[in-house]
Amino acid sequence: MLCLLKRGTLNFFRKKNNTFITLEEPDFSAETRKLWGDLMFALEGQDVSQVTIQLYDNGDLPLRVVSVLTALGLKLASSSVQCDLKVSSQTAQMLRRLNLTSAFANITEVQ
Amino acid sequence: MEINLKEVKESFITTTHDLLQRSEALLLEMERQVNPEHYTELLRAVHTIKGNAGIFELDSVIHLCHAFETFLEELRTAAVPLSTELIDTGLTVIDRIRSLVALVDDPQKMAAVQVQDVIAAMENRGKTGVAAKPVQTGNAPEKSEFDRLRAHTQKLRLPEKYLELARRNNHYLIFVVIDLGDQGNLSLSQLHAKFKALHKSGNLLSLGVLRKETITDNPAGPFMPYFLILHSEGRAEAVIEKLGLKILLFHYFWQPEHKPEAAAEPVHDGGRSADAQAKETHLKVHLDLLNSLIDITGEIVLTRNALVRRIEQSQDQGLAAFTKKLSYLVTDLQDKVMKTRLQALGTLFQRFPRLVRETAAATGKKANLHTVGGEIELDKAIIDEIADPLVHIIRNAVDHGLELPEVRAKNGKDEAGAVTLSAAMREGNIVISVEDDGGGLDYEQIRAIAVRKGLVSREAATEASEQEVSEYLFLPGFSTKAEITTISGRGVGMDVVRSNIKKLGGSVEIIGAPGKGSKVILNIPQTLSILTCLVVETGGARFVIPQQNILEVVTIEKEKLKTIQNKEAYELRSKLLPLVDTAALIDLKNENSSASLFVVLRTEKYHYGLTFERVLDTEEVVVKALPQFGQEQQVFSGAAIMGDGKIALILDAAGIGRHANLQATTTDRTIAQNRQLTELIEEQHLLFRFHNVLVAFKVVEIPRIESIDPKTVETIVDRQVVHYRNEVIPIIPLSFLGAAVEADKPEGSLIILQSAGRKYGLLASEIIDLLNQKIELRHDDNDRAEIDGFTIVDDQTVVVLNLARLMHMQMNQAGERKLLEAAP
Repeated sequence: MLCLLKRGTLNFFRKKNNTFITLEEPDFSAETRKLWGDLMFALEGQDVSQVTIQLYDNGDLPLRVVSVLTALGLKLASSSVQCDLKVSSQTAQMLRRLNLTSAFANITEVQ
Repeated sequence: MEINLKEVKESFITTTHDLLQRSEALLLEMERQVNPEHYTELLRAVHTIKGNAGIFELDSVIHLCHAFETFLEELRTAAVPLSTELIDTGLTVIDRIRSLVALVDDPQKMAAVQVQDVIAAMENRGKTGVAAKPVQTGNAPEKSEFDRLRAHTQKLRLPEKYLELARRNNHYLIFVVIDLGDQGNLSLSQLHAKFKALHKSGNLLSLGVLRKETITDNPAGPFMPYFLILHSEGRAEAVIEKLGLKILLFHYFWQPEHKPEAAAEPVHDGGRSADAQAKETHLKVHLDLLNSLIDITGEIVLTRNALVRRIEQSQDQGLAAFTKKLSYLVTDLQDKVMKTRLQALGTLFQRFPRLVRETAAATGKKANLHTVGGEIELDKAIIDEIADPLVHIIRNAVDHGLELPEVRAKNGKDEAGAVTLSAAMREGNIVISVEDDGGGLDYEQIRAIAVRKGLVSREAATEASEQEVSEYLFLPGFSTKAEITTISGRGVGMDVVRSNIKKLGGSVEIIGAPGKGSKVILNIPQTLSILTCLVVETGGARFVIPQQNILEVVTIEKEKLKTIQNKEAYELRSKLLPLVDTAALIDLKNENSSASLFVVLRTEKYHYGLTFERVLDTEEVVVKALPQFGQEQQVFSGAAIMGDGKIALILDAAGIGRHANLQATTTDRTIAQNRQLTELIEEQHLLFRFHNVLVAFKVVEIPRIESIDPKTVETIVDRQVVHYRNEVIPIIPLSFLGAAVEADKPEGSLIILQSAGRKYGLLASEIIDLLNQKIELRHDDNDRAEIDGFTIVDDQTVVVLNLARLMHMQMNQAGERKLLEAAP
């Protein structure tokens, strides 16, 4: 069953045990704790075994968004939930250089 | 590599114990005078304990240490004098940490130990006693979360390569934590640019997320802690300012040694403090291992002694040479092994300022403790054994010795009494004394108490001298206190002290005069287990006398034997020396035997001669404790297994003095005075024969004289040397005397002389006597510089040597030889 949902500006849908989350402007302007709360909402109420987050960024991101996503990746990893990230290649490179990739199972560069 | 957690834990306990001891001493010093360096050292000690506790996840220790650090930092910032209450709080914290560490193997019991009350007390004291609060860098989150994060990051262990890099470049090694979620509108690319610049400048070593500290669910906590490891020539503040980020916290994991101002910051020790490099030459070894080494060495010494005895009986010269070499090596081994267990007395002394403080507070007195000689080293086993006796004695000094402040003021003394704890080396022994400037010994009161408690009869007490009365203090059940307190009054003090010290082969004495304070003196051997002794024989039995008590061995001349008040004495150099018969000590008296020699023994209190039939040898013996039945005899301190496997009893010089009911050292002077021997001895000369020439030299202290086998004197290059106790000692040549060398009568005695820390030997054919008379010197300008002049003794001409000049010339010759050897 595919379920399309919306929390604030955040789009996400669930398919079986997988959750797909997409973020784009103006989601990136949200405050740290607000964005965190929205993501938590997206994952509540069901057994999740995999989360995929796709960002529609322009090669850069506010640091607070990066911190929320990294924190989410770490939290999921500690619960044995795989978290994949799809970002622009520039962002992916910066994440690698700043040692932030270990929070994610896979980082896919999208054009 | 496998890590032995048990060893690490033991090392942690030992280190923590030392650090707490030092912290306690620092706190007590701070009560008198606050010095910024005290805070620095104290904070470093507490910080190290906290860091080390992190390895074992001892959360309560970590929390307590952390709160203590905060408390100390607040006090340091406020720069206020420390009240007694603040010091009390600090001491309570130290006690609590000590209790927690003692339970490190029992997590359940450890969890039961309360720390919150102490932490609350510190917070209250900090708030009430200090106005200023510490300033935190950046937007620190709520204190508890921040503290937790700080505690966690302080526990971290950085890779060795970073520490090495910082040390090599003499840079600060800085650990910085920022919150990625709290950097305003900063973008990922901006952060990347900042770190890229930092990387280019060569300061950045590592970065990443503090995974375990990502406190996403707690609105009060940092959202996304992220760390940077930097090394920098400058302090952290400068780097952080350049970085332009909000900082949560930072630590120094290494600080350059040449920047003392940096020491004010807490340092994560991790075994890498500034003096760590110096300590890398040291290795911690378990005491059990050292003890077993000492036991094995003791057995080797015994075997060596037995072997030497066997070889002496054989005529194999080659074997004898090997045995001699082996003997030197064993002595050297034993000496080195013994040294491994030596520890400075200062480690023990630093416990006592607190004891004095607390005893004084409990008894309403004022007292200051002064310590002297903390650098003197003693066998750790002995230090452990004397700790409790010293606690008793120091408590007594404050409780019984010192008067109340008002009484002292009335007597014209300073309100605060002085207790001096001192240690000194004397004749191979360690003398530890505890002296107070209190009311001294009230002999009448001591007499009355001893009679009232039924410890002695009224008649005996009335007749007893002051010397004997002071011995009542060592009777079981004796106490001058009318009421029992937690400090004293139960009468289980000095008798236990004496029995404990006696077990170590030592002695304890009390001296004092009314109104002039009292002094308790402990005389103890520096090492246990192996003693150098003189072996003597009397009544068919062998006895062993520790050499540290021996002044000289004298051949008895019948006409000098005196009987005074039914006691035997000997007139030795115009003084009467009381004599004790060794055989009579254990009823060995044999009608056919008669003592022909006596050994002059000196302890802190007694000076007497012990008679026996003959000297057998000097020997290093392994001390074995006496069985229960032997301990009743107070004249033996132990037993020794001799080279032939038989057992000999070790004589206790102080015990014999007491057993024979000898008077203190003043007595012989009194007798001498009664005999109106008022001649003052101004000079003392040792008279000896060098082949056919009589020689003398002036002595300040009687030198050591050894019988030697002339074969042990060797000629190396152009000088004679002799092996003496594993040292090669140069012989001062006396060829200038022009003596007619009698080849069939070689020199059999060696006089050991010391100058400027060096030993020299003088060979003598025969030692004749010590001259205690003024001698008239005839001196000619043409005489050699080494000769003071000539004199007549018993109608014979004696050459009087100038020993100082002789040794000086010997030293210069050695120096010239060295210069020649060093010349290209």
